[in-house]
Amino acid sequence: MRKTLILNGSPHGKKGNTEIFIRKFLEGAKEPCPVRYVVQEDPAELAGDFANYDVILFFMPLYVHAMPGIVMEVIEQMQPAQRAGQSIGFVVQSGFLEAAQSDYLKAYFAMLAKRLGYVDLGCAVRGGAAGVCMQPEKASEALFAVLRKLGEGYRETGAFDGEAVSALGTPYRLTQKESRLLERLHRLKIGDLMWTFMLLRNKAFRLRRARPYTEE
Amino acid sequence: MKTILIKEGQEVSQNFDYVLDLVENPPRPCTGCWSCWTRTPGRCAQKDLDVFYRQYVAADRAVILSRAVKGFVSARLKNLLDRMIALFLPYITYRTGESMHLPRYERLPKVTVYYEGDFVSPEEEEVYLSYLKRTMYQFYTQCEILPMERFAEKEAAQCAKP
Repeated sequence: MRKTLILNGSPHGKKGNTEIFIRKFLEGAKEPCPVRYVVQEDPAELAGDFANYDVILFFMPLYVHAMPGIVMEVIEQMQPAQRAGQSIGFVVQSGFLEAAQSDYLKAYFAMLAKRLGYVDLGCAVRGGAAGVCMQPEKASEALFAVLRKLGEGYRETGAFDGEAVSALGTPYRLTQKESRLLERLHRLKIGDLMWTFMLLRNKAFRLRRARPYTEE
Repeated sequence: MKTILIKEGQEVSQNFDYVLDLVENPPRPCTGCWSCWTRTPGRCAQKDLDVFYRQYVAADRAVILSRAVKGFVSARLKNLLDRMIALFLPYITYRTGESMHLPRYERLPKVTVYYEGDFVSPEEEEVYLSYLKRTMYQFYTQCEILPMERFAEKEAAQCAKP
């Protein structure tokens, strides 16, 4: 496997969905490679170390249609690729169900790779991933199998496996039938159960629609 | 009309009701703690933007002077956009055919973004613009995005309005 650096771009660091994605990818790759945590590092120092690797793989959650601000802090410090063939790839997981919600970020990452002269391995996107770290492992087994396949393909070819990327990115958009059903579930408060549960547990349910910045 | 300004170190001669300079006061990054959704609804656990939030939700207009970096919104501005989720509910509606968070406040200011940056291609600039447009759509915010050169002329005209 080419000398690879994996970056965890989540503000949650080792405790979160992004870390689970990385671990499952590495299980498939079956070769250890260093993982560094953007939230713990100096952006300039971290970006400076990219020169020592053949491939940089960013894993991150989607924040407001793009990378978390802490990942942009690292990107701001990135220099052009240091040698021919140096590659960059991205794996993004979002709470929203549809992979299409990450299209704006995907388009940007393609531009970034071009601007900095990296070979672009592409951007694999998974929607509907907010609950992965809260669920038992079994509930996400199908997802984990695809992430392992992504890692396995990477070890074998140095690229992202097209089938795995496509499986992760489904659903790309919601069908009319799906969105109508989901809207019905939301209106019946069934779709909101995860939030209701957390608000109740934190004794904050009564305040769920509070507008604190106009109320004081 | 209450107008606030969010800028990234630019010199500005016009008067605004409130100014947040992201260079002088960079917002702390969102920690993804979801306190603003599940512990203290609507209220960010970090306190550095409390004054900003109050000014923002009370404003009629917000003017953003964005300095793009590496073809995208700067990390400073992205950190601010990430922290805006406190102004929305965690609940998701699908009535437009796709996932969207629901608004927490009845109204939010109209936004005008003036941008400048080192875009290396028209495609890169287009990616930056479409990202901002989409974000403002997700924020239920009417938005106009213009090159920085238009700032002096447009805002002078705005100031002249009664």
